[in-house]
Amino acid sequence: MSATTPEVHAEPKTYLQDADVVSLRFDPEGPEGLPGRVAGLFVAALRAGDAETVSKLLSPKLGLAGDAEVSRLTLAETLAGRDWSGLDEAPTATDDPLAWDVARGGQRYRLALVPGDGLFYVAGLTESP
Amino acid sequence: MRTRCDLKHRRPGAGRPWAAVFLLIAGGLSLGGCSAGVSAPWPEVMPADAGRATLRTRGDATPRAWSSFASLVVREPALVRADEPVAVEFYGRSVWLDTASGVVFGVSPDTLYALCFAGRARSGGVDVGPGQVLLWTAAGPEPRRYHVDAGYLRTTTTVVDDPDFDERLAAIEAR
Repeated sequence: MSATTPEVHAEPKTYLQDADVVSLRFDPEGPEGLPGRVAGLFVAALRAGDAETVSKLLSPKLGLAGDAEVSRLTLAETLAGRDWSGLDEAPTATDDPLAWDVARGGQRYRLALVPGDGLFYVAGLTESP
Repeated sequence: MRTRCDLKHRRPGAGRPWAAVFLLIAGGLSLGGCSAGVSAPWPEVMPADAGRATLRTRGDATPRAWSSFASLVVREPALVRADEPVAVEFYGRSVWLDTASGVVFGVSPDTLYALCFAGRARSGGVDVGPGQVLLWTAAGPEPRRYHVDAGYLRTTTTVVDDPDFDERLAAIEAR
């Protein structure tokens, strides 16, 4: 009987080698308030149509197939390319520290965050009833 | 997003932070008498005095522009040499380098670091000298001071292509 060891491939987290991401992860203010800062930056990036920043804040796990970074950027470009005029300048906290609300006109959106890499990522943006 | 890295030049009076697996943290924290001569903050001077400090990384024949510091240091360690006192803004932390100081700045997965191999450096009231490193975690702005295993570092790292850096590590190892 022979034992085999499964191959393990560690994916380098190259998305962490980014000055903006490092600024967030090592914010001198510490981790307290980090979800709010990430949510705020994400909303600001949507308002500005800044796909690059949106991409950095999206969960790396959103890239489900193929090149994760390309998937993130593609999704970010789609999101940032929408018309977000009239979107609230800042999201509002909810009872869930990982959920933030933001409105545009009469429509509310729920921003879902997930922790990872000592940071919080945006994992979802859905319309709220 | 705004990146918090910059360089400020200061007048004489005070000092500042390197990442990684190759840093073998050998020792404990504080060494009492490290603050002599660098206890007072330096007043800022005009930032026109570039040339007081240089920024390089592996293989650089000429110094890099300071504007590249933030993006450079997340990819590879950056060696900063200060001829005169300067303060380097390192992701929201001010690190002071004293006259004739050499510090390697870097970012590891879990820490920011500043390894002093010549002169003195200081941040958040913590002073370091040759062979000591300032380490920050994501928990906040205050650094902790550790000693490095200079021998291990010297034989395992190719981070900085600088003969003086190697010689100084050898001197630290020999102490």
